[in-house]
Order: sequence, then structure tokens, then C-alpha cells
Amino acid sequence: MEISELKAELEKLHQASFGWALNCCRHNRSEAEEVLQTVYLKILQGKAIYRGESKLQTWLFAVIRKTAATEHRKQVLRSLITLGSPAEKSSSEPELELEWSELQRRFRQALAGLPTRQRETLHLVFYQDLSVAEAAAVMNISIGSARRHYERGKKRLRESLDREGVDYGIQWRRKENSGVVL
Amino acid sequence: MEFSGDEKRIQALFSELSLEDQTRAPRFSKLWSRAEANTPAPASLVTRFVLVATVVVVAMSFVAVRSWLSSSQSQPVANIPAQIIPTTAGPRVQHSELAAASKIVARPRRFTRRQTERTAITQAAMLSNWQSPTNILLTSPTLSVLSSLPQLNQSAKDLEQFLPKKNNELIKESKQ
Repeated sequence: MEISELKAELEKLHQASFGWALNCCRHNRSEAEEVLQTVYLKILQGKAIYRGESKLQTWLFAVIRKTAATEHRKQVLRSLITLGSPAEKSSSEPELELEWSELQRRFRQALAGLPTRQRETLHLVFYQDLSVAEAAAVMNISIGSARRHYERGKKRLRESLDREGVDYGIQWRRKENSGVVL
Repeated sequence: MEFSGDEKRIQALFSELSLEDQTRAPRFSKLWSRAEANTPAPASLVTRFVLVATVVVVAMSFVAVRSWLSSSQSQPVANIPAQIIPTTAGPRVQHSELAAASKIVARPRRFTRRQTERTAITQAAMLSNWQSPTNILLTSPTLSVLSSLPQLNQSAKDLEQFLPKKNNELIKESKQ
């Protein structure tokens, strides 16, 4: 695929990519921006090459996930060397939290409490409208494992929201979602 | 498979989250241009050629220096000076030389490999040429006669040549 052609496709996927990068960076906006920029740099330098073996979105999300993990590792190492600020930054900016509704805040908290794999699977299926098989490909795990993470994550999230007393049956303004899970 | 019940509710919450994230997402062009700015320019052909040539020259000079060093180390073995067979006073001199050589070895200086090899070769040469001080007692004027055997088919006259010169002359004089 030509770089100009690829650029156009990446631009179409940019919003979704940023959402996925945010999820991989525990909703840290600046970190997500940095990760996404690094991914684009990798593509430009030819370090990440799309060979058409899977969907472009699946491939791109896998690259974002890997890059985020690498960046996080580097950050932890840096903080260990400097012995300064803690490795784990706050999951989000405080000024943003003020703008969130109570329901959204509780939902984010419930999501943050999930194990990483479960949170990733739920994000890919509900947020990105990917199938469980595609989520498995992004996460580089078997479909069976992805399905297990999906079911457990869903159950745990439901329990957590019930505990918080969130009435998530309210009809929120929602974007159109095909909602097909294969 | 479509979402149903709880799944629809969870999806609604995720949709809310997605809308929130989208409003705060940076522009694609901004991140792409920043990434492009960080991309290093590809090396030109000339630069690559110069780089390869430099590597080749460095490698060749390294090989040359190494071979020269190894050849210079093997030279002293071929150039061992001829050792003079010592006279009666020899052993004393040799002993002193050996002592001097051993002193050199015993010195706590940092010897190079070549120096050590040279010392060892000198010592070996001196030891191989060493002669006992009583060796002179084993030599006699008739040594040449004793060390060579006459042939069985030679006549008695011919055997005279094996006698010492002085004896031959005396016989000639007495005949005259």
C-alpha cells in the first residue's frame, strides 16, 4: 500500500485510534497522543509495515497496543531511575473530571477496576464495534481466551455498576452502533 | 449476534465515553506532521558509499597491522646470533651471563611478550653451548688418530699418515 493511500486510511481511523490509545494509556490524554504519534512515526519509518494479512484497523490497533506497552515500560523504568514521581500517573486530568457527569465518572471508575485484558476486550467490542475474533487478533490471543475475557469482564462490570448504584438503563445520547458481535 | 439487555446498556455507556473522547481527540494532521518532522532523512547514495569505503579501509588497515605484528614477532627466532664456543674461562662468563639474564627475568618490570621470548631464546642458546670445565682433560694430541680408523686394505706405509706429524718427521730424519 502506498504511503499516501495509507495516510488517507489512517486519517479515517484516527478518532477510533485515539480512543484505543486512550484505553491503552489508562485514559491519560498526553500519553495517548504521544503513543499515537510514535505509531505514525513507526509507519513512516517503515518499522511497522501493513502487509494486508488482516484488516487495517486490526493491524493498527495491535501496533498501538504494543507501542503503548513499550512506552509504559519505558516510563516505569525512567521513574525507577530518577526515583521521582510515581510510575503510574493519574488516570485522567482533574479538570476533565469536573466536566464529567456522576454516571460517567462511576462508569470510568468501574472500567478502571477491571483487569487489563477484560477492559481491552470490552473496549474493542463495545467502543470500537469489533467482533470478539477481531479483538482476539488485536490482543494477540486466541478467540476462546478473548470470549472468556469478554464474558468475565461484562459480568464484573455489571456487578461493579450495580454496587455503585448506577442506573445504567437510562437512555443516554448514543452514537449509531451496528452492534454485531460474531 | 446483536446486543441485548445489559449489553445494550453497557454499549450506551461506552458510546457516551466515545463521544467524550472524540471531542478531545487531537487533529490527525497535527500528529502526522509531527511524526514526519521526526523522521530522519534517508541517507544518500554518496553517504552510503563513503560509509562503506571507510569501513573497508579500517578493516584492511587492521588486518595489515595485525599481520605485520605477527611477522615482527617471529623474526627474532630466525636471527639468533652465532654463539662462540667458550674456552676454559668460558663457564665463568656463561654463569655470569646466565645470572644477568635471570636477573632481567626476575625484575618486576613489565615485560612485553617479545622481550620475554628473546630472553628465553638467549638462555636456551647459552645452555645448549655450555661445556664442562673438565672437558679439556678428555682431549689429547692423538685424538685425531683415535677418532679415525684406518682402512683394512691399506698398506703399512699408508698407515703412517695416521701417525702424528712430529713422529713422521723424526722417522724421516733417522732414515736420512
